[in-house]
Amino acid sequence: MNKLEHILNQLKNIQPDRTYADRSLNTIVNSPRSSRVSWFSFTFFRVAEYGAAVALVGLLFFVMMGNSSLVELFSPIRSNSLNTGGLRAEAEAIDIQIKLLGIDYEESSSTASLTTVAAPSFARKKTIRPIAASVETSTPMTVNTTTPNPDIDDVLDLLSE
Amino acid sequence: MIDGEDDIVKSAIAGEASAFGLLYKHYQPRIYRFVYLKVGRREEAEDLTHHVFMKAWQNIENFKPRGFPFSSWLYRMARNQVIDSYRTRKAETSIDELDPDFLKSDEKTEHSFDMSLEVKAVRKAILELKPEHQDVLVLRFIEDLSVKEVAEALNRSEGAVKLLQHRAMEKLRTILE
Repeated sequence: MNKLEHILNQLKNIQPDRTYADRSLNTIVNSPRSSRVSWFSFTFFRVAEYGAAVALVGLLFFVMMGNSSLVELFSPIRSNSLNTGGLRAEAEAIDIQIKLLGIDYEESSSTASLTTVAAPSFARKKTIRPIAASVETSTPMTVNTTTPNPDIDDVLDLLSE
Repeated sequence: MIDGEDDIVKSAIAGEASAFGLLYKHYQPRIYRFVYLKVGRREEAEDLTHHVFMKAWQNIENFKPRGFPFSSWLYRMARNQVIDSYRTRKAETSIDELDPDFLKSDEKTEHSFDMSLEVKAVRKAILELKPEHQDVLVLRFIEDLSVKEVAEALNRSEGAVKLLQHRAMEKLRTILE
């Protein structure tokens, strides 16, 4: 045994106070043993604990297997409105029309181009603002591709007169 | 381990206060010493030791021998009690607060005085160790438990206990140097 172990061994001399020890023992053995007295309640709660666990597992399984019917039963939203078939039919019934009304080049302005795309018309007419790269206008324009464009030189001549 | 400990424990489980008294008288000084060497203050060690035995008395039917002495169960409860006390309030240990009479030596020679100083230095060094190192050192070298019993008390493998013992001794030597 080395010196350090010898010193450690001397710590065995540490002893508790005798009076404290006697008082502590009296207090302990005179205290009620709650676990022994409540053996029935301990067993009852142990059984209830396992029972609750099994019941919860069963409920979870039941919910997993039949969740769609439970959702229909308890959901505040009626399932008719969530019918995917109905939603698809409704989506197909929407009249979505996208028309390319016209692409035109103005000869007088070689850089200007005018492209107009009409937005989807949901059964009503809308005035479409053309998107122009170099022409800014605050008034709506309607481009008609069926009518021929007047010659810009003729128009300018007419205005100058 | 007390002679006929299994029967005494069975009697204590049945509610015989005298049987529990026998266990208390045999193990209380050891548990007190274990706790005292970890917390460093006598009043605190007394309180914690009292709580350990109170819990032991109230939960003794949960004790399952499994081939280990009753002390392993008590040491485990004592260890948990000390950990709980660390959690509830920060441990403040000073060498000045140590009880100067905690060692009772019959020898009054000059050598014993020197040894007492050395023991005090070791005592202080133990307080600076990690709790798991304290546990192993106290149980192995002061309480003379086997590696197997220490492993059971600390809920560790025997290999882990041997490793902890080696590291604890190294650390203790380093602190003392």
